[in-house]
Amino acid sequence: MSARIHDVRYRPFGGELQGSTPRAVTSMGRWSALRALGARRPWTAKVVPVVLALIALGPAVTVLGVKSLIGGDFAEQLPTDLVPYAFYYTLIGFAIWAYAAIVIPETICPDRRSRVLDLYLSTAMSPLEYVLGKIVASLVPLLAVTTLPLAVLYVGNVFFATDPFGYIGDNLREIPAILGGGILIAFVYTLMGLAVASLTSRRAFASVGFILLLVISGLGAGALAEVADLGPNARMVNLQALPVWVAQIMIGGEQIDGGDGPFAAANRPDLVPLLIANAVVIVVCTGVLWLRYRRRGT
Amino acid sequence: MIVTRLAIRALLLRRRSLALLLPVASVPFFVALGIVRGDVTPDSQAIIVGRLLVTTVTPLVALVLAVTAIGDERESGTIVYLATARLSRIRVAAEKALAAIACSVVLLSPALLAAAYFGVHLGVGVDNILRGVLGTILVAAVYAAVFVAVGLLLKRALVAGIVYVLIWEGAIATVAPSAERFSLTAWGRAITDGGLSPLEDGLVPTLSAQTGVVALLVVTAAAILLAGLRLGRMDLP
Amino acid sequence: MNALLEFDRVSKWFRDTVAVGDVSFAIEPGVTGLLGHNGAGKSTAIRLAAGLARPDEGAVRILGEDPRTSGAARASLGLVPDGDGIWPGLTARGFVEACARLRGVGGPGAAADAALAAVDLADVADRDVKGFSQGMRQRVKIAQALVHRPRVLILDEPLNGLDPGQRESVIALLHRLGADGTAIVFSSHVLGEVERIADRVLVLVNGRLVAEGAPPALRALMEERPRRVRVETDRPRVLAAGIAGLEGVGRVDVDEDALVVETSRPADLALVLPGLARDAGADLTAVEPTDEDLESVYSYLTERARGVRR
Repeated sequence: MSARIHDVRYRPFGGELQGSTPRAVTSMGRWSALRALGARRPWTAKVVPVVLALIALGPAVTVLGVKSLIGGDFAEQLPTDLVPYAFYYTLIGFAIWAYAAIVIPETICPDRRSRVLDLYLSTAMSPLEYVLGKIVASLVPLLAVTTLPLAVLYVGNVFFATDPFGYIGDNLREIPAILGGGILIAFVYTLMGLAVASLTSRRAFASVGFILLLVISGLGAGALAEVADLGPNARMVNLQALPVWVAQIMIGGEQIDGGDGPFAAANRPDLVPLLIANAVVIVVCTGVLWLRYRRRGT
Repeated sequence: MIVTRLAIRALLLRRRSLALLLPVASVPFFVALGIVRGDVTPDSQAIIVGRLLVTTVTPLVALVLAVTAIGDERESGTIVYLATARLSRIRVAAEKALAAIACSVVLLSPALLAAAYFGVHLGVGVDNILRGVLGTILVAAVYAAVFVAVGLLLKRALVAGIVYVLIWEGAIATVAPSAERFSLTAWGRAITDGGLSPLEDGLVPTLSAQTGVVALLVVTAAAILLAGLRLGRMDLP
Repeated sequence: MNALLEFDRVSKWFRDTVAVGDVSFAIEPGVTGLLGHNGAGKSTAIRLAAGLARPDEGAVRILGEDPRTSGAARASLGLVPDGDGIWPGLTARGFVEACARLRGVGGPGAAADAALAAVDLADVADRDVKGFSQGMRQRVKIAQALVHRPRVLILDEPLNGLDPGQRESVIALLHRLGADGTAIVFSSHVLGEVERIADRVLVLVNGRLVAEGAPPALRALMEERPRRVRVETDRPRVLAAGIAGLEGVGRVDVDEDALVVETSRPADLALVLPGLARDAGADLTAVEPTDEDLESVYSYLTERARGVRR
């Protein structure tokens, strides 16, 4: 009887490698995003992002529903007359934060915790590809709460307009504004979230850290403006509002009220300093990510 | 008190706990800024002490420490040494909560001192300052105790805690008038209200300070009891 | 008299998986090995014994009391867990002393020193545990379990991750403690270890207790098990023909210069083999059982309990 030992040890991938940066980034982005949204995890992990996205969509759907059921005075008004785009961000601000706080850490913290980060970086991909993939993985799901609700409102406007095609023609510039504003909010929150989450391997602490950053900076901005009487530009340390303000200006012009509270028009700094402040946030967060993921010399 | 001593040691040695000093430091920072700029309004006091310290920083610091106090022991497996000790599980839970409270007060002390100094600067009187400090410590205590219990009941206690602090305590309970009856920080603000933090509209509780003290102490005790019962019944790794 | 540690029809399940099913045994002074493959329920049994997990059915008793509710029962118990967690920032002495305080030992400092000396760590007692090797950590964990002089000592995979030298010293320590009257229960999936250390073995397969007893007695209990006997000879084929006709013989594998006989009556084989060899004109150079060690007993039990041989 002849003996035989089967080799079942770890073996490198034997198939054809398709490695290219765009492929690596999209693949990493796709799978990380799915996982962050709860794919291949228990139902509890799927419910939270879905519920938060529904909360973010809720007001838009409600406005459209109410409008279609009730005629009368409402008939003269478009959905965005009831809930202006700029105010919509104020309405769902909490849902966006909570969504970002839960989804973003999920894309990178488990890699550190289960020690696959070194495995990725040592063989499969460069740090840049890794980070870009994680930016995609965080940003795309965030669009569901930043762009989608306003897009729903826009579509509602079109359907309820007396002349739909005329409406589209007259309000063509709202489309890039909705898209651009949503992407900007998602992008800045993504970078902030990833920067915070890159500092810890525990998701929960990353979530807390991100939320604390938003809340404390918001309260701090209020305190700076009030306590130190530094005027609206002091509110620029308000990290929660920085991208939202820009998005509001893009969609509604500088006059549109953001409602009460943190995003109120009276509290909003001017556009140019706002853009600079957003750029600073982007640079700082990118710097943190670079420090945390640069390839260390051996 | 060996469990408390071990827990305090473990908590204060953690980098994560020291990171909590960052939000804590925002309070003295804004107090100092306000005093330097010399233009202190009741509004700014309400923001710094009422909203920032009592309603946001204190609950979050106590929450993180409480969840860490139990979570780290479960994570590292050292909880088996506590579970096989001679002490009852209720005693273990109580000592853990005590450690979380003590560490919260230690980490919050720069903010408490700054708030007290703010009060001195504004001349609100010693009794008002003491009330403010006591109220804040009681809020820390109730959060530490409640989240030791929640940490034993839920897997993602920290996330649940943040959602609770931000949505319920930070938003709903400062807007909806009857929600404050079920808000831990509103009870705390009932104690701190007055001299140290003349509150903005949404933050003014209708409860008396005495009710606030009693309510906070009762919830703290109940939470410790619940944590002890839960620890006694649950399976450990 | 109450047994030191007793399982009385204990079951524990996680959702629809039975981790421990209807297990009963009593532990006496001496060393008992808890043997089983990974996932057999050893760790669950140990957690049940230490009061960390609650049985879904049945009762666990230490000196007649439930370790989950009785402080006295816990005070008679020392546990060496599988995990390596130790509170941060403590020296070996600090850690063991803290454990002594947790268990209400009078004079915790002296008790800690004695326990550390018992595991040969006296000279590194003041060093931070963080810098310790795996073997030293293991011994610190044992010292912690001994510091209150428990009557029952439970160890979860105590030899895991130790090098041969460290293994020897832990084994010697367990022998010494067992001889002094402590009831020791340790789990392992490595048979050689259990055979060397334990006076008595409990074999767990899929959460069930499938066998218990001293290793040689276990073997004797399983006389019906087919044994494999290797016969070295210069004429294997001729001899095989004679052997195949014997009562109790199952299969015979023939090699160049040996044959392996599977028989349920090895004693009979030993009696008739010389006669058969003489008739066949064969020289016998060696006759030996190939599966008399615990390893084969264990795999036999495991396979039978899992239904492989059914």
